[in-house]
Amino acid sequence: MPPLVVVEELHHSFPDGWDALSGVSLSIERGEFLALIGPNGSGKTTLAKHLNGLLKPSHGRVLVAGMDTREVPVSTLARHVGYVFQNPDHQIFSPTVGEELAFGPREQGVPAEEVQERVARELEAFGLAPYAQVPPAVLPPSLRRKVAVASVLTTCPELLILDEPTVGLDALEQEELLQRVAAYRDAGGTVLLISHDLELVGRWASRCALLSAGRLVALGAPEEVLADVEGLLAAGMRPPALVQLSALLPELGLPKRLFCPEELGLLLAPLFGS
Amino acid sequence: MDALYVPGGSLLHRADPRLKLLAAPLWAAVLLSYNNLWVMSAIVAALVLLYLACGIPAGTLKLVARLVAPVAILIPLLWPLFYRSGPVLFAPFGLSITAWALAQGLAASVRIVGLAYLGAGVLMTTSMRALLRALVELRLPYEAALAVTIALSYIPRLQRIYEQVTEAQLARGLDLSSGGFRRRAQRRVPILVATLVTALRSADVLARALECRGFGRKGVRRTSLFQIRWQRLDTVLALATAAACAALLFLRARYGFGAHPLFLH
Repeated sequence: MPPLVVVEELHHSFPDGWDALSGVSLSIERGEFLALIGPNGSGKTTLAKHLNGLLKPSHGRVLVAGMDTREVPVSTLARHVGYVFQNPDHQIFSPTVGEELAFGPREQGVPAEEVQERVARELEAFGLAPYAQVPPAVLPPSLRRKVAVASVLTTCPELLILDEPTVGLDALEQEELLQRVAAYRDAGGTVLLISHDLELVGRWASRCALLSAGRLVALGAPEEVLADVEGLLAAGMRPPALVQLSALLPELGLPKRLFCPEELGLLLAPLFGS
Repeated sequence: MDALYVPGGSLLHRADPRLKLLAAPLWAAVLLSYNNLWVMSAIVAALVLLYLACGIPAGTLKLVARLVAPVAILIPLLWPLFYRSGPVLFAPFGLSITAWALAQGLAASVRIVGLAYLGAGVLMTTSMRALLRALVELRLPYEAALAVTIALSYIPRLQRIYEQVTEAQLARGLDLSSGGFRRRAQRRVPILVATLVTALRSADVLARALECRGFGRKGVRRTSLFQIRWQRLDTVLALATAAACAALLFLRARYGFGAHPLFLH
């Protein structure tokens, strides 16, 4: 099966002359959970916006589900690619949460019954059922973010792009959100996650792409990309705490894929007889 | 964030902001009193040349023109429907289109562009803090002056929000390009609602932030780190502006110069 997304030698220059992306090539397989990391201004969002046609390549090309994004309107690509923006307020407008969740599939001409099913499913999954009749604009930021993600998931996209979805969420809410996203991936979906939280990336992503100044500087499994302390520092990123620990104390012999303290606890417990 | 401000050290940049704030309405009075296409075109052309000489990029001038373009294009199209004097040029669908009506419509259009350029001229060459200072020096209450400058600096911000919201709605599958006018207008609703909500939310946050920084405290005399000073150059410029405007207004009032849309006398 061909990859869902193919990015070939992508260059993007903005009208003010800024080269946001230079020669980025990568592909995203179906069922993958790819994390896009890099410092601010490295081109993460610019790259993501090419995947649903909001931005068109200056050079190179982007294929999504076999379609060249230069030749297909955004509304067509939106049937395949769901995009959750950094600021949930930019997408929320409906009078009630239920309506908000129903907007996407309705625009796509999904039959009313199925729209209701999908809305009910996501309301349940995100714990939003009590707010179904509430205007989303008056909800607190964390719930608005959930509404934004849920309203994209009701369109059942093949590729789900999440641009820093955990900003403003507490640890428990982050966990809930990522679990829902993982469930979507397990059901056959493909995820592109943009995040600054490398621990989170290490725990959830199946592959990791590091951007720096518009170039793709590393692409591989999280245990490779995130364990490369020098590479991360050179790109302007701070490696995850446990990765730094294993780099400082190689004699501990910690595994490369170690991102959460619970795992470290399990590893160290026998040493202390517990 | 300054709306249209282009930093620089040119004559207009150095001129006292109070002078600019007073000169702009004076020239606006000249533009409003004249009807003649050629006089107005000359004034607008002079303005454009002045701005270019002062280092304002042509792109910024185009942006301002684009903002008033809908009105500036509609006026000359509608004018011939209501203004019928003068020799008939052609008569499509039983309407008699006269040369004078066309000239009058074009003159009105040039006037709109000119008025926009006068206002923009102040904003393009004056930083927001200088503008705020000038408004306060001109006896506007500080709160009102700040409100004016914040409103002006919010224009580009609103535009940015509108663009971001449009992107977000397009990404959700909103199709803005197909269907009739009514359908397309309806599809703008999600964009307008989300823009409004975001704008209101940020206005609320801004109001609180200002309050937290002591804004609106009564009975205090404000000092300012940034000061503006009236220089000799400003006196010269003020006299020159006053003389030019007075002469043009006198010619118009006393001799009817520039009263006709097409002819100069």
